[in-house]
This record gives sequence, structure tokens and C-alpha cells, in this order.
Amino acid sequence: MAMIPAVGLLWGEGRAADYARFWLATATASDDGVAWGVRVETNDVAPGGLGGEALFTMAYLTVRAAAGATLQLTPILNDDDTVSRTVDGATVRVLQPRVTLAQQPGTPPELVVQTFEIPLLVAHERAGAPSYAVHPRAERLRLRIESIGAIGSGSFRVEQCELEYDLVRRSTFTSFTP
Amino acid sequence: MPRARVPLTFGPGLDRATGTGARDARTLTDARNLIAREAGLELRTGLSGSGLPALTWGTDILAQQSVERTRDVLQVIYDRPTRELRVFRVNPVDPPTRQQVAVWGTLNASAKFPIITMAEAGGVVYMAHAEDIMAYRLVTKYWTPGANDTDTGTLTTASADFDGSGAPGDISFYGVCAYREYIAGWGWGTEAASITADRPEIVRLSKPDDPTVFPAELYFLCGSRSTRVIGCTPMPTGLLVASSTQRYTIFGTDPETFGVELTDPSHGIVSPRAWQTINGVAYTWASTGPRVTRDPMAPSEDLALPLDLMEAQPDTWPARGPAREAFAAYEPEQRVLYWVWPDLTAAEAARTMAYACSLRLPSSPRFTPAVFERRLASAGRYVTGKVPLPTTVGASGTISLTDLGWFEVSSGRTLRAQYTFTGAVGNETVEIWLKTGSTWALHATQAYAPGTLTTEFTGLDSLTSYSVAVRLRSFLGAYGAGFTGSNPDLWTDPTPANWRATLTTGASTPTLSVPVWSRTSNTTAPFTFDITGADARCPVVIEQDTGSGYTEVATVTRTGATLTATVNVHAIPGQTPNYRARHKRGVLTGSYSGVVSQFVGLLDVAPGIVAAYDISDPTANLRAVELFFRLPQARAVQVEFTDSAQQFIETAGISTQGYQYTTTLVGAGTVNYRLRVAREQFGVYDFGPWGTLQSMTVNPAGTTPGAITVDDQNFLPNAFNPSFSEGNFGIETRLVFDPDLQPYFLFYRVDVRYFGTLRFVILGRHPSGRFTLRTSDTGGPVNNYIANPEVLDGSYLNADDGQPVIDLLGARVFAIFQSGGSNRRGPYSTIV
Repeated sequence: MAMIPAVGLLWGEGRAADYARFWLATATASDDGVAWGVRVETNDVAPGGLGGEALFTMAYLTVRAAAGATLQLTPILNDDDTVSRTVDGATVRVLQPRVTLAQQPGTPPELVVQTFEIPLLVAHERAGAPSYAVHPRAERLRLRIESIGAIGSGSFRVEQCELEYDLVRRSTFTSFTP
Repeated sequence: MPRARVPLTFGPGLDRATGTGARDARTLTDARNLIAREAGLELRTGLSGSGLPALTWGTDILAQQSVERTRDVLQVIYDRPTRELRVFRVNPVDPPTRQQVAVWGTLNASAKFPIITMAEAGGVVYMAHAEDIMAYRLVTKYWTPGANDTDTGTLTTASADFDGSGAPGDISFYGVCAYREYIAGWGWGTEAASITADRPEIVRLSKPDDPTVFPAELYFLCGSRSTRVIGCTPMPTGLLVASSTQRYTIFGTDPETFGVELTDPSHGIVSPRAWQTINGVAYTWASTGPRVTRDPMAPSEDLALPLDLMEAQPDTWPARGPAREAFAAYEPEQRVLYWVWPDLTAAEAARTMAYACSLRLPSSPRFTPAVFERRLASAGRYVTGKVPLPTTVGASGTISLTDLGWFEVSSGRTLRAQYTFTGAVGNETVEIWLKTGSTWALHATQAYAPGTLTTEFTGLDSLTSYSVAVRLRSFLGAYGAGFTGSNPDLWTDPTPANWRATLTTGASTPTLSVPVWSRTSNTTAPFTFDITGADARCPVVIEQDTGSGYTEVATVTRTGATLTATVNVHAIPGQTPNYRARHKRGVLTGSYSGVVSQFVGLLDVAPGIVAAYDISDPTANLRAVELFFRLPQARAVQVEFTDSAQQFIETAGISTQGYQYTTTLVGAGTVNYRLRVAREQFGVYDFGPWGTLQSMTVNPAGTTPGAITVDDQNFLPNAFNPSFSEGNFGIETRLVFDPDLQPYFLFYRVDVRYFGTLRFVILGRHPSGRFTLRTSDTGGPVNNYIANPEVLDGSYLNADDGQPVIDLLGARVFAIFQSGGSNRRGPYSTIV
């Protein structure tokens, strides 16, 4: 049972055709039993500056959570969130790796810190068979991290993500250096 | 060579506005359903069952919050099909209960979706309907908790006399909020007329110690006549008053320090509910987005830029609803402030867009979006931990009542109740109930303390029965078994002597003044009493005794500082009744005053009898008596003889120096007589007391009066003015009497220097007789002959021969000759 704070927040419903309901704000990833997910999308990171170019190799995602969840990472290159396209008859697909966090036991469940090393890859497939995969290369990249399916009970914190890259070309007009 | 890394800590939250090249890499473009922490993000809280009873009426929860005083949850519920608003109270004990408090009202069909603000101060909770059209606006209500926890409380229409008419009128505020100890209400002018009622720029404050009272003079003009105050945001040192485009600040803490200034001319607020004050900092949502105010006298600061609100939002975010429906809610556990944008007027929407502003670092608020899977209409503080009320409290011990007497300063009697309890927990409240007549009322409460407790009731009435009952109430409002309800007569505790007592108050003993008699009409001649020492509001009965016992003759009640009473004694003239007075209410009586008495009538003393003479004609059957008396003032005189009817003598021309009265009587012998003064007024005579009964002997017919010798200085002493001394008012008297020849003669002399008069009184008569008066003090006697003595009655005999120099006035001369003709003459009397 979730702990109820001494002073909490009581939400009231506006409902057109049935008795309104009211709820207490509690640490659960659902609204009135309807599970909801989370979605984080970073702003663009351009290690070489705008006009530069980098090879984005890995993401190190640190999660401190008690709730079980499955997270999916989607690299978005140069503001293009298309994950699959066809190039010269081959399918170029941005891989969306997933990591799974186990539901921790206990009441309340204990928070556990986990860091996931997640390679960032763009796979080339031909005739349905993978031919090779490379790290995405782009001027800028942003990460989308979203939950897949229901999030378990307990706290869930996305604490940090480090984006690893190799600088290919630095823009001479760079005005921002991370 | 290791590859480079960019740390993305997420903590700064959204930044959707800064240009690509200048963004902080740690910021986000989306972080749905996550709350920014110092570094990182965490899940927002979800919507879970509260454990409180579900609604069984109404479609929308327009406002709700825990009442700080009682920890009840108060909800304003709207029902769209019927357009009715009702107020419910949820008692969050175990098991929790829900009760309807009252129906607030029915919304006009043309009114917008109702927006309700709710504010608590002084233990009452105000509710106001933010409707622009005054005709559609519901009156402002406030909820007052009941005396017992099981009571639902009462919903009362706010009212005040703002137009000075003397009659309070209902108030329809646009919104309310609590500011320090005050309730602030805005959008209401006066109740005089519809044109004066709709004053959108006026903000009023209640009394700080009684938020149900709004003083007419405690108001502020926050903008021009057409500026509608939409929302107010309290800060510790000022009340932010915002219209849609600007913001004023009411500063100060009391009427002596209050003032108002325009402090943010560029930013207002979008709805009455789009604000929260957290840690003394005000957060509001203006037309350009969220803003923060840290100094109430300074303009607000912009928080909206990272949200880039004017641009398209992600498709996965629900659209924001109408601005007037936006509200703010603070979730204290996560230190997150939600700005919630429901669309309440559209068809039922499943989701609600909100902006979560993390206040974990108050100096750096950070935003993330929140998408709720339900349509949220309101939010409010929920204070948990209302414990089930204890079923037992301390038991009653003893109670006694004492009448402390009448106190003029409180205009009433003071009753002292002393009581004890046993087994008290220690934090109970003592309720002291007073029964006046047949009505019980909660007179006072006091904190329980060990030992004997005392309550004094002042201003009570005399000769009145009062009952006092006491009971203990727990901290949360529970009573012991047998002590429920608001009628102590119905409390079922088996030993009422332990907690209820009755006493009949006493009464002071009044003091009667000696009454003053007066004549006010031909049928009323009242005695007027001054009564001192009488208790106000308690009747005083005056009793009269005229010789056959006391009877009540008047009842008066003091309402002011003094008390007088009148008793009509017209019907008992000449008596000297006794009077006494006492308080009397029904069968209850006080002690009697002392007895006072007074003569009924004129208080003039009876005329003094100077002399009485038998002046009967010896030859006549009718006997004659002449009386001499004196009067202290001009009055009529009533003379009463024992053998004659009463007769009156008119006052006209009467000297205050004396009067003579002659009457005729039938018969002879001993005659009793007495005199009293009389006065005619309103056609009736009133009298003074009778003088002493006098007696004289009247000779029978045919009897010659015998000689009378009155010694000098012994007759008519100071007859006409007792204030004169003997030396100045010497009387020389000599009687010379010869029954045959001498006249029955008396003369005397008064001080000629004063009166200039020498009066002769010669007693005796003869039908043809005459007498000779010889006066001489220088040259010898002078004879004065009076030809017809019998006609001299009432005339003056003047010594007109000039010898001696005396003035004879008022001589009434009678001559009595036993026999003899006209030439017969008795011997002269001795010359004096």
C-alpha cells in the first residue's frame, strides 16, 4: 500500500455523463487504473557544432528505480525520427534498443540504481537479412526514452544518460560546446 | 583513446524555446509524466482511490479541499443535467462518511460552466461563483462546521450592509481567497441595486477575527471601473490582485496599514484558480504563461519561455482547454506545482493536459508536461490523519450554582456556576449550557482544567429560574455517552445532578420614598413614589393598607436608571394609608421594603382655633357660635360641628392672618367642632387633616351669657401672628361686664405701630341697645355711640372723633342688654 502523505493532493473529475470521481495523488504510474507511460526526449546534441558531424556510439542510461519497466531508446538523427527507410533497395533501420528493469520486492520496494550500456546502431538489411550495422553519424542527435508497457509499482527515476561519440568534423561556426 | 561523452542529466526540464545552437544539452523537449529533480526525472504521481466514499450525485467536482479546522473534505459538486450545485462534506474517519450539506443553487441555463473558488479562514469555508454575468452568478456561501463531528455543518449565504441602509443584503462575490486572517472577496459593490452590485474592480476584506463579517469600509479599488479582478493570490506581505492584464497589490496587515498599488502593469491572470502560493512565493498563469512573484510589490518574473507555448505542442500532448477553466494544484510530496488545463465545456474528454513545475529548487522552477488519463476539474489540499473520534471523554462530577446578586454595571444578576469532572483526558472542551425559560443555549466553552471550574453568567433577570448544564467535548468534537444533542434535558446520563443544576435568582429589596400627593383631575389624585434599589426588568408591586390589610395597588418595572410609581388615592381622601413594596414575578417574591405612610390630601396644617364664643341671642331659639381661627395661607376652611352638616367657606378675600366664622346651631349644650383646610381644584375639594377636636358650651335659649373674664395676656395670645414677640405684640385685655347695664364687652389692642388698628370685640347684644365705647389714653374717655348695634356685624367702627389717634378696623360689635330702654346705660367698663 502506498504511503499517503500527511498533506496530499485530492483531484476531482469533470465528467459529462456520470458521477464524478476523485482521486488522491499517489506514487503509481496509472490514473484511475489506466496505466500511462513516460517519454523523455532530449534536445539535440551536436558535439561538432551545427554543421559539424559526429559518430554517436553509445548511450549510458542510469536508472534508479524500484518499479519494473521496459524502456526503449530511440536515437533521432538530425531531427528525423524516422526509424526505417529504404536506401538503394536496402532497409536502413535505426535500432531501438530496449532495457528491462526488474520489479523490486518489498513494501515499498527498494530503489536500485542500474546503468545500461546501450549501443547506438543503424542496421542495414537487404531482403530481410541484416547485412551490417554502423553507429549513426549525424550533425546532431537526440534521444527518446520511452516506457513500453506498464510501469510497475514504486519509484522510477531516470537519472542520467551519457551520450558517447566520436567527433568526425567540427563546425567552424560552432557556438555551443557541451 | 576514449571517446568523448555528453552528460544528459535531464534535471533542467523542458526547454523548447532556446535556439538549437544555444540550448543546454541537459534540457529536454519532452518529459511526459515525469517530474524534474535536481538531476534526473521521476514519475509523477498517479490518480488513485482516496478511500473516501464515492459520489452518488453530480457530474463535476468543481472545488474541494480539506478543512484545516476539522480535517473534513468539503466538495462543491455540479450536476450537468440539472445544473444544480450542492455542497458535500466527507468525514474522513474510519469508516469515512459523506453527507450533503445543502443545495447551493441552480445555475442559469445561459451561464458558463461554473468556476468555483473556495477559501477557509476562521474555521469557515467560503465559496464563490466566478461568473461574469451578475444575473447568472450564484450568491456567495460559507460553510460552518457543526458542533459535533456527526453534524454536516451549515451553509450560509454571505451578507453584509454595504450600502448603509441598515439591512444587510446577500453578497455575490466573483471569487474568494484567504489572506492572512481575512477572507478576500471581489467583484461585489453594494446590495443597493444591480448597477451597484457589479463592481468588478472592488476587493473587500472581512473582519480578521470574524470572516463572516465584511465591514463596508474595508475595500480596495484595483483598477478602473471596467477592470475585472479575476483572481487574487495571497502572499505573506501582500495580496496580489490580478485582472486579465495587470496586477495590483494590497499591502499591509490591518486597516491602519492597508494600501493598494499597481505593481505589475503588464501581467495578470487567466482564471480565478490559476495561482498557488508556495513557500511565500506566488505562481500565477498570465496570458503569456506562468509567472512567479517573489516580492509582492515588484512585477512578476517570466517562467513561460522554456515552454514555447505559442508554438505547436507535440501531438501526444492533449490540447489545452479554455483559459478560464485552468487551475493550479500543488502536490507537496513531489514539490510539484501543476497547472492543469482541462476542457470542461467540450464533450467528455478522457485526458487532461498539465504542466508540472518542479519546485524542488525554488530558485529554479523547471517544467515537464503531464498528461492525465482523466479529465480533471479541480484539485485541493487533502489533510490526512483525521483520527476516529474517541467514544469516551471525562465524566461529570459536581455542579453548584450561586446567585451573586444584582450588578448595575451589567444590568442584571450574576449567577456563578462551579463544576468538576472526573476522568478527563485533559484536552477536552467544557461546554456550558444555560436554560432560560424553556430554551437551552450553549452559553460558553472553556478549556478543561483539573479541579473546580467556574463560569459566571451576567445580566440575568431577578426572580427567574435558570438551569445550567455542563459536559465535556473531545478535541475532535465527541461527547460522552448520554451527552449527545443540543438539549440537556434530553441528555440521558443517569445522574443529572452531577452535571445539571437549577436556581431561581433572588431580588433586591426596593426602597419606597414617602409619596407626594397631587391632584391631576377630578377623579385622579395620585401618590407618586420614588423607588430606589429596584432590579431592572423585574416587576415591583406596591401594596396599600388603609386599615383592613395590604392589597396590591400598583406594579411597575424599571427599564431605565430610575423608577417611579403612582397610586390613585382619589377615593380615600383624608386617610393616611401605609405602603410597602417588593419584587414579584409570578409566585416568586422578594423582600418587602420599609413601610411608608402619608396623609391623602393637602398637607396644610389645620387652622388654629383662636377663640370660640357663644353669641346666641338670648331671646332666640337658634344659637350662635362665633369662631376665631388663623390660617397659615390662603385656603378654604371646612368647619365641622358635631350637630351640624359640613359647611364650606370660600376663600375669596380671606386674609392669611385669620378668619372669623359664625354659624348658627340648633340646640345647646356641649358642641364639638374641628377645622381643616380645603382647596377646590378640577371641581372637587381636597382637604388637609382635621385639627384637634374642640369643645364649647352653648347656652340654651333665654340664657343670658354669664360674665367672662379673660386674663390679660391669656386671651388671644399672639392671635394673628405668632411670629411676633410678646413685647411687640402686647395684648391688653379687660372685660367689663354687667349683665344688666354694661355691655358684654371686650376690647383689646394690638400694636398700633404694626397694624394701626385697635380692634374691639364686644360680646353681648340688645335689640335696641347701644353701647358706649370710651377710649382714652390722653384726654379722657370718648364716647362713641352706635345706634343700631345689631347691624354693625361685619362693619367697621372707626374712632372718628380723633381721640385718641387710633384706627378702628374690623370691629364687630354686639351688645347684650339684659333689660332696659334706649336711655339705659350700664356703667363704663374700666378704662384701659
